[in-house]
Amino acid sequence: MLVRPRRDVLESRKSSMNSIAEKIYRLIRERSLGTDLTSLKQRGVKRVSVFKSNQLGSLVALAVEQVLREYGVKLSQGDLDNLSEEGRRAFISLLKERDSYKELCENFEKQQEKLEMHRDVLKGQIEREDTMLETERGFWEEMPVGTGSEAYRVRLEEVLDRNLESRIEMLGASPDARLVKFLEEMVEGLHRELDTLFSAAVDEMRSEYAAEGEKRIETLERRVQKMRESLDRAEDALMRAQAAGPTEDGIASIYKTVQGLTPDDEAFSQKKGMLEEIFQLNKNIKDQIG
Amino acid sequence: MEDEKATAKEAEPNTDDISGGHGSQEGVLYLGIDLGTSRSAIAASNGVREFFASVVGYPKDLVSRKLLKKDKLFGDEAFAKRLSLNFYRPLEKGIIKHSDNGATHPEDAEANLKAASDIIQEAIRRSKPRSDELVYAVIGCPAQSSIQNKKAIIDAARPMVDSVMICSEPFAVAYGLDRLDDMLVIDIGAGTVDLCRMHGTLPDDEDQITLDTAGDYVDKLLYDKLRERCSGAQFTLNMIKSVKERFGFVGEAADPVVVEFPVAGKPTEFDITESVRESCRAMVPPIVQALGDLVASFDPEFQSTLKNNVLLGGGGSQVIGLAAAVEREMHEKLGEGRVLAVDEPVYAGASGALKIAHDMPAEFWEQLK
Repeated sequence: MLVRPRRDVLESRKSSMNSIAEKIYRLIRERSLGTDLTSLKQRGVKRVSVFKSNQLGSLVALAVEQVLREYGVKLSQGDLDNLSEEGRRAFISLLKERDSYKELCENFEKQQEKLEMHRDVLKGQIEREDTMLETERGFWEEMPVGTGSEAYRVRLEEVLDRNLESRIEMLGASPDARLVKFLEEMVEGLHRELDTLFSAAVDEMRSEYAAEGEKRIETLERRVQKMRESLDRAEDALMRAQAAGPTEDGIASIYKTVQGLTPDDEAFSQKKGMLEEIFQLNKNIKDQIG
Repeated sequence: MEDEKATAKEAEPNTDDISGGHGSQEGVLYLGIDLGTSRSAIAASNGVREFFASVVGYPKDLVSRKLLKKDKLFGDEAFAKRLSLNFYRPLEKGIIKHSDNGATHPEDAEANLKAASDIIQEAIRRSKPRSDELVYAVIGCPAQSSIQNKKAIIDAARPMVDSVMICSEPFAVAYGLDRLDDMLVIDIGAGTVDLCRMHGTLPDDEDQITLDTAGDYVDKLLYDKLRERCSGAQFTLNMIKSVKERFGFVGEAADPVVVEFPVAGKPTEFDITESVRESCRAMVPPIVQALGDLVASFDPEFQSTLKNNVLLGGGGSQVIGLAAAVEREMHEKLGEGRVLAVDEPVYAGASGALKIAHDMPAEFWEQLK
């Protein structure tokens, strides 16, 4: 008759306890309920029972003791104390972790609020700049360049005409027709010259104004463009932040070290061979990938 | 204006600094991933188990991107918003589309590879790994997928894990259930039905058969039948897939399958019991034929044991009465047979892959880093 060595029994119990620990862990994960005060208030809940950390610690210690008893594992008082101390430390570390996560969430919310505020400020600025740009464009497009000069030109022409008429009157009742014609031609020439000079002056003014207007519009357009880019960046950042959620630490694995098959596992050698083959196949693929 | 500018500058936060960082590595997270044509499942050693439809969508333009507030949408969310998205279902018949003929369709190959890569990364992200843990993943892929396809899967996972391996999907199912000897595993997915003969060693190519008469095939069959039989009804292949997933059965129907399809805009009831039964039943003969082939090429002394140890898994195995129907057909065609359905068909592959990951020795992971 084969008698299993004591070590095997203990190993097997250890493995069962690991599996129990795994189950407890999963149960806690599945049945834990997170909520906030607002939702509790909405549901009409005014009082909730809360475990204190020392109560939880005692419960866990009791559960561990019961499991150890159930599996017939006898531990010295010193070992038990060590276990309890280890559990207490793990629990405190979890509490700290929770606090740091809470802080992280709060920071994340602040960051998100900041981003939203920044985005709104930018949006407001862009709206204002857009309005300014439109006004500026309208002003330069409808600018009455030369309108004043045109009136001045008309007045000059009137003066010239009146001058001519008074000169002709001064020549008497029957003036020399050739002289009258000469005077009329001279005034016509003056009119043409005035037209040319005024047109040139107006064109010059227009181009000066246009250049100034274009420059102002360009500046405004560049400013609006920069703001839009800044807004896009802010919205991207906000989007990334919203998608990522608080930069949570994730859920810790139940394993602290690499596991691997152990000789106590069922069908150890068979599984070992299979795992080696899987590894080899993957190694070949890796080699091919380079 | 200047004041406003100054205010805006002050209010501008550091938009690059929105991710956290961790220090030293502590702990090992094992992941088992079942990368399926229709849905992908993940099981992790931190207790996370999730599945989602293997689809991804990217906003079509800047407007939809701003509206959706995301660069990528996955699973049901992608389905729901697919009209605003460039929508990809990158896996077909169990492999990444065009991964084997990238040279002839370079653009499609690239787009599908990116989509598959994003799905794998999303699966890993959903497992909520801690950044201070080592992440070791085993990904199940169809039994007979090509080397190019396997490479593509590894490349996609590598940026998010410390070490990754792939293994045959049906083998993962068997390993997860500790059924390694004289066992036939049938893994029915959307793209492929993978059959695998387990005989105590890692199955090789002769031990595995991949069929394409899987979920998608049934959907198409049912779609075509309803096109013929439900005059005037409007429906899409996607709607038919949902109908099959909800009502799929073979054998005797407990209740008639009555569904509503719009006819000229008006919801109208149709009894589609017979069409559903016929379409789902169409999976059975090819499976039994393939089982027969795997049995016939096995040691005659163990053929009977093999026939009486058939394990049915995968999302497609959820069709009501399928195990019994395969068993009946086996009795008829192969003289005997016993078929058992796995308890959790959706997670059987991922859980098996997780177990492989857990059992894999440390030095193997190290060498594949």
